[in-house]
Amino acid sequence: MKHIYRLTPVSMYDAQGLESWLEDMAKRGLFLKKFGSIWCSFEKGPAQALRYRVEPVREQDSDEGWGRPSPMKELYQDFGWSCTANIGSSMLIFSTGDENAPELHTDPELQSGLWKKLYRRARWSFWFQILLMTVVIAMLCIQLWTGNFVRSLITSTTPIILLYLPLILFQIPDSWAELQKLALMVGQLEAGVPLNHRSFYPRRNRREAVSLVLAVVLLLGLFAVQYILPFTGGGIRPLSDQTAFPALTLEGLEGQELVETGYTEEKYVDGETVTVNYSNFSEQNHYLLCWNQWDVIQTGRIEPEDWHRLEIQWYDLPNWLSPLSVHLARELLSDTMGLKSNVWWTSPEEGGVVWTVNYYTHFNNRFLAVAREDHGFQVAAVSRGNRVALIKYTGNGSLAEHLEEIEKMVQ
Amino acid sequence: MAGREKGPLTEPMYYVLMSFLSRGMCGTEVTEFVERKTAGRVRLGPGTLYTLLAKFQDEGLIAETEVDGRKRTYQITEKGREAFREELDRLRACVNNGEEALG
Repeated sequence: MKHIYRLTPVSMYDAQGLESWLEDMAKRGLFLKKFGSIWCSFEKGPAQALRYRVEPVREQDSDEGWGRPSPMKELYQDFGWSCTANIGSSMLIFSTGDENAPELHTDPELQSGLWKKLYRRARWSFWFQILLMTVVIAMLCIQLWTGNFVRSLITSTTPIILLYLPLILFQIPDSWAELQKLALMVGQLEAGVPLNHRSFYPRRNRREAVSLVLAVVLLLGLFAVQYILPFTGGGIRPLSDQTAFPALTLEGLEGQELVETGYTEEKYVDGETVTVNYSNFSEQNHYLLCWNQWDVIQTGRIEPEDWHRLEIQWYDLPNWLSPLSVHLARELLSDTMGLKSNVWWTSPEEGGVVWTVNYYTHFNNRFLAVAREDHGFQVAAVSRGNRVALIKYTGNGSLAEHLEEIEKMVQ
Repeated sequence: MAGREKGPLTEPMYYVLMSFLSRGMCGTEVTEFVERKTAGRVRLGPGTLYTLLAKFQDEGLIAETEVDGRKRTYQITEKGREAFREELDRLRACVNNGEEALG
């Protein structure tokens, strides 16, 4: 039989509104088949006056094995009420066309106990929602506080989380109103006043549907950014494959012949077999807010055992994010300078790292600074327009003597 | 054996428990019994009846003894009888106090 779908105009906790809506639908010849918080499915038939009732259920009221319905459904059936649909595992919707079928509840106080359990569950889920949102906001504040906000905005799922927040904030007043309505209903029953099964309900409620679609889109986006994007850059490849910017070279810094070292392997890249050196390679990364990011790693040895290494992180931000490029350069610089002593290129002595920083350019959207640690490790951060680069270097050369080449990387 | 620990019985509770004193009954029989006994003053909807039966089962005052198709029969337990006797004593005391007060 053909099913007809309609957006659910009320929340699942608005029992009276839901009952009224379903009764009106039955009068128009649409009979509930399946309940969903966003849309319900109906079967068409001759218009009929039906009574619908929403009943909270306990865990132990679930159906018995071998297709046998729960004792609750069987007892209700004996009195002329059949179970039409379920609302998750917490509520059932019963209906009857029999005018003589007795009302389900004749003791409001006893009935209040059932709704009270549901109210407690709804209240717990509301506060959990608030807690979750607080945790997310706290995490974003910590990122802001520790000075990594721009980098995580550009290279992580932070932008999607930032979009989630207004969505959750937008839903909080609605959830609170639902909770209050449920509390009012419990209070009314506790006072011994039976429920009025006829109540106002809005004609349409598209907000829920829009919120759900947005939440699903954001969730898919979160998944894609976290688990799919990292694999779209093509993996590591030879240094010569990187043509996005003129990279500073280790050889140029050292000014003498280096022996290229590192483990090499044949790799299939873009339809060709290439030799990849795992100590000398380039790698392109795609991020949501920075589609074109490169890491360039160069390692060499001057005979007999003098090891040198140059690492470049290069970012090509979209134009609308260029106001953030200087902040990103500063963050990258200070983050690298803050690395702990157990990282290979810094001093092994605890607390013995002293940095000297020279700022060469720092105005408008341009930034260039070189920092040197007293054991020889050097870092440079540069930005111009929408491009940013960070250079980490250990060797005999001096980054400060190659400022022009460094600036060229971001021109 | 101690009866019910959760305070006095409400009127529908009292009559539902009473219905099981003579024999085991199913849901519809309980409703008919209560309506007949109270001359229609106490009516039980299926939701109220089911909640009470489940409550009494949880408290061990009644037990399901037979399932025949859709018909489920319940019987009162010794704890249930004790709870009913206690309630009866409480109600008797209430009536006596009231009569004494009226003189």
